[in-house]
Amino acid sequence: MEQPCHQDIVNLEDVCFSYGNHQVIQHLNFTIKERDFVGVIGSNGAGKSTLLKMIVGLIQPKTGRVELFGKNSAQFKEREKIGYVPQKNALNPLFPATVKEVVLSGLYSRKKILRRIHKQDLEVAQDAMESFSIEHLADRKIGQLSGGQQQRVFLARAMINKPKLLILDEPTVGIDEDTQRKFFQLIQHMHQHHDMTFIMVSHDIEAMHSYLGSKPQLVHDQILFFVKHSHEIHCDEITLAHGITS
Amino acid sequence: MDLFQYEILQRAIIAGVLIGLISPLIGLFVVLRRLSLLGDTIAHVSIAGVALGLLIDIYPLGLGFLFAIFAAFAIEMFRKYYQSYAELSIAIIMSGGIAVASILFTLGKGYNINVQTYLFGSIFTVSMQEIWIILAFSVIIVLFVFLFYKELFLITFDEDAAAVGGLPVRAINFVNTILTAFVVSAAIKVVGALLVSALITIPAAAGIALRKGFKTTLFWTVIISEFAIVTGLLISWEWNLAPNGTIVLLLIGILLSIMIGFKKART
Repeated sequence: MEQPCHQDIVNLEDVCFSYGNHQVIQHLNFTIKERDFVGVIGSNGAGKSTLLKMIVGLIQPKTGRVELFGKNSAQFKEREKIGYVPQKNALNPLFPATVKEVVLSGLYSRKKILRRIHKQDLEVAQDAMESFSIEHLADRKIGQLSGGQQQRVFLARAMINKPKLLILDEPTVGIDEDTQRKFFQLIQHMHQHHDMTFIMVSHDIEAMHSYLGSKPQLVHDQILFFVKHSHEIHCDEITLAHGITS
Repeated sequence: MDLFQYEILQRAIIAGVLIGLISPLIGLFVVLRRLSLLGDTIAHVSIAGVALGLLIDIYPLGLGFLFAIFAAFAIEMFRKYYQSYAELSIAIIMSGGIAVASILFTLGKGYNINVQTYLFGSIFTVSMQEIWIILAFSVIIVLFVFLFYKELFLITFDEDAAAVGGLPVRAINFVNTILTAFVVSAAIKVVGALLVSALITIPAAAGIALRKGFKTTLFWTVIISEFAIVTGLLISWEWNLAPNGTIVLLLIGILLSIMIGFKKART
């Protein structure tokens, strides 16, 4: 029997956005429910990044309304509910940071300004690294890791707060095919076994098709939305296991 | 050691140690934000303030500081306008600073020697009043980095993740730029406007070349900076060399040694 696990996580109502006279998003209506997996595909300049920024409240629509967890996204304060995985290409390979420092930084948005890092925070970071099997890399510099290992580090950072919404912004750009495949398997495993909603921007249509089907739920101008709805996974299948490694 | 009986040298070393602490503390974040020329730009605008101060006979470093703060505001304003082209704001403000300074130089032809003091630095003429000002700046900068370390780290490492996490990215970046203006104003007397950027960027470059974690890198940038400044001051005092040039060459020497050392270790 289906359980009540399908609250609205993101709700876009008649959303329009433009840069000057250039209309990027026009009258978009879309709802993402709890535990949905939404794949967003589009060419460069189609408005994918703009859409993500609107969803997380970094920019406001010109008209329309964006709600996050039932609240106006601009006023949304419970930021620890959102996990964010950037593009691998965004990483400066010379940046002097260890894996442990990067994973720990996932807690910094939850920690109030001026609050120090405590011993229990280090333990939480250790747990997150163990969940993604990267604990042996803790003292390595992130720029020295392979693309796949770096993405596991970013996943561990994003998951350290046990978010309800995980946003992945082209996470497989610049990674070889075999690593991309393994990364998708890991993400799928996380979707099937964790009480989380996923929004994943990707250029990889093949990978999206294999998990989300070949028919987009919505075609909005140049952006395609592929969705695996939460009702396709029964709520009683959710395992809130701590270990995530697939 | 006999050297330290000279009050001029004592004052120079106190000022140098303070600058050696704050320049890399701010510099590492500036370099990693890919704004290495930020210090240089603020220094060029600051020298326009110094020139105006000399022209109208108002404390030159004070006006230089006000101009540095103005430059910081202007850089952030242009950065906001040209969001994906951070270096453009640097180019515009630097050109503006040089243009104003050059006009003021031609208006006040009689003070060229004084201007050179600020262009090339004169740490052995630093006064107690200036040391107190540098100390005040140093306390503000050390407190800022200590209290906002975790926010500075995340914003520098991944600005998007920091913004998604709800950190006040723009405000912290802005304060960081303002504090760079503080460092420049404090360091002009030590190495001069033309080389102030070296104190901000080279220790950071050397620290990054060590290939350590962030906290360790921050620690070593300060050690490298302090070592170069104190050693440079002592060498220049003893051998009557220009202190700014000696300090900067020592910094470059340390950077090259680290890079060559790592290259040899790999082969």
